[in-house]
Amino acid sequence: MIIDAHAHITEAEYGSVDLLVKSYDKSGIDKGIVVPGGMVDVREMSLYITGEKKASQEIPNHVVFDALKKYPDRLKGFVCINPLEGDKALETFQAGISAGCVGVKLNPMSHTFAFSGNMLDTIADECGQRHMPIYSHTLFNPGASTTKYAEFAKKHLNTNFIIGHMGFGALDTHALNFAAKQKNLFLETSSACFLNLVEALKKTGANKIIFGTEFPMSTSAIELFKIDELPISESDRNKILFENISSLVPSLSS
Amino acid sequence: MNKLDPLGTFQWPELFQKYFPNQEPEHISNWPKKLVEEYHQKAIEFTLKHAYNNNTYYQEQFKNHNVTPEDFTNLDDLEKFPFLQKDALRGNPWLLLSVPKKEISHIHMSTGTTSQSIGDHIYQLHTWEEFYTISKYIKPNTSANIDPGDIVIIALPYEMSSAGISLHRVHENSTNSIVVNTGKGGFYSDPLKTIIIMKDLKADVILTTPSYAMYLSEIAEENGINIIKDIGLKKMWITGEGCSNSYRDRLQNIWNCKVFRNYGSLECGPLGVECDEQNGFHIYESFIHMEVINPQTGDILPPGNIGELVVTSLNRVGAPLIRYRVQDKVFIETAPCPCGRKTARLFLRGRIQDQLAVAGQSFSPFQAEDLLYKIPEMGNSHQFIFTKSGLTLRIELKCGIENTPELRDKIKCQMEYILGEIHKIEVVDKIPRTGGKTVRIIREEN
Ligand SMILES: [Zn+2]
Repeated sequence: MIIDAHAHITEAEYGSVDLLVKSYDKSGIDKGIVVPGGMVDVREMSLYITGEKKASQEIPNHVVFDALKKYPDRLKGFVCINPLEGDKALETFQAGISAGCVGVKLNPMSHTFAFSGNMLDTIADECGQRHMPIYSHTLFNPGASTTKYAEFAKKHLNTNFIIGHMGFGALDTHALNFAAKQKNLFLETSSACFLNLVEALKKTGANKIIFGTEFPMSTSAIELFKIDELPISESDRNKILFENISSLVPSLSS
Repeated sequence: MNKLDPLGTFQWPELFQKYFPNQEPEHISNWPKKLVEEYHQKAIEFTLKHAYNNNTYYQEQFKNHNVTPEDFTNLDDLEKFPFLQKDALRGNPWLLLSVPKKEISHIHMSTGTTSQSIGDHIYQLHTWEEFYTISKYIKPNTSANIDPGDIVIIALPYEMSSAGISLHRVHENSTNSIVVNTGKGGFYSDPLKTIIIMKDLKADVILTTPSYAMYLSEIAEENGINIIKDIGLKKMWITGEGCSNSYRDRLQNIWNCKVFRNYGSLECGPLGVECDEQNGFHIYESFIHMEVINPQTGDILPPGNIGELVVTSLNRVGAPLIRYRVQDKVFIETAPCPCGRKTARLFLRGRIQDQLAVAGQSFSPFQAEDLLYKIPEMGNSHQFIFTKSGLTLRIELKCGIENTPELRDKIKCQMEYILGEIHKIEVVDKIPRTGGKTVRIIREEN
């Protein structure tokens, strides 16, 4: 069994859900968790970092909702929420639940917010009650740093938090240390470099590491190869490839 | 025709005659790099000799560093010469005097941002000839340029500081526009009076600070004047205060015209102006030579690296600057600008004294301002207040927006993205307008 815990899908062809499922078939991936993509066109990623292009503030959650209908047996979804939208954020959360979403995706870079404030607290509590994990990447910005994300997670011990791409930059020591210390904090492997995985295993063990692909930036085969290369036991490999995410998202086991 | 020299009898300095025979130094922006370098070398050679022969401070400094003007044979040799520090100028008005005192015709003084007490003021001395030529050297050759006959409102302080009066001279003497000085004293003009003058004269351009431009628009609205219909500016120059892109965007929308940033300092005079791209300052290469150094080691950094700006004046004789450390963090882009001009562009990365710290994390107030004015509910003024309990962000909301706990929570969450930790968001009806230098940073830690 293999589950991809993190893939983006877009309306545009380069990141379409059909392409994703095709790549799953090719690499033997059984299931995947999709989040909306396309708020930034990742094919021109650097232009968003330099500010030459602006991220869209419309969140295409409908792409995820449609995908869940099309591939109900293969896919689960996380609904993306912008906490700065006030009541609309809660409406989006509800819409996500109605469409069958099993977690929440945050995007502090596109929406420029800190891991703080009543709205995020409300969402985190709601997620805890529903066994829905929260997934976010962390940034260099003071309010959206790995440290702030860990503080946010500490305030909501009944909710599970996934650190996307194992944290900020090439090797985020804080992310590994926090994941080792905090029960409800997990590391997702997509785009992370190999040494990062090796160091994480030493610090957190296999229980805290979750496999993801970051489709369409990467492919299933490339990301799986990193896991294959790890000098670990079969049972640890299974934890990384599907057991850990299944314990966070119970419906993946059904 | 030159308005200050109707008879055409003015004797232009030798170098000016040689390199700018048609009195159009702004065309340096089309020169090949080699020619710019040749001109800079000749001008620095002249400046070093002039300073060494006429100023004892420079003479001593050169001797202490075992250099003479003869050691300067190409531009790379400039790094052998000592830096001029800001502190050396404080309270020393005549330190750089390099002509007989009676040849000085105007003295500028620091505005008080860094000079607060007796003995730390900085003065700049200028000869009449210099003024006369400087205004030619710094005519912008970008779309920020001002056309002959344009009505130019200068709403900047005229008292002692250089910005108001030097920009006044530039436009009177060089762009042949029609100058209207509404600034006065250490404060800006009476805002309503300025708006009325702008309306009556159908002003084309205003030169002012970003916060004062905003203030003027508010006064106009309060008095039933529609600044777009009743005035209709062609463009605006802002200077004197840093300004984020989003605050500038607001000014552009409110005034319905392009807003160009201007960069300069009291000691150096004008240093650069933006073009239509609004992406970096086109450097006045006819007027100054720039280096960027590692502030710790003093080593020159290759183009593109962020470091401290060092300026050498090319055509000043009254009190020339040689390797003056400006204390601004910058980098220089030598790649051609999409606008087509070949001059290098300077990017300001903050004045070193402007950096603020919250909970041990340093941040630029302009980066925070940029995010703040992107918030749609945000009004047009703010203050950062540092208290014992942490940072308070005092803001106005846009007209008609209700002050609710949810909104304050949202703004806190958004601003903490950059600031890390905010103690409180304090919404007030109106942050008092001073009519002078706008206070954005308040310290109440004690
Ligand atoms: Zn340009």
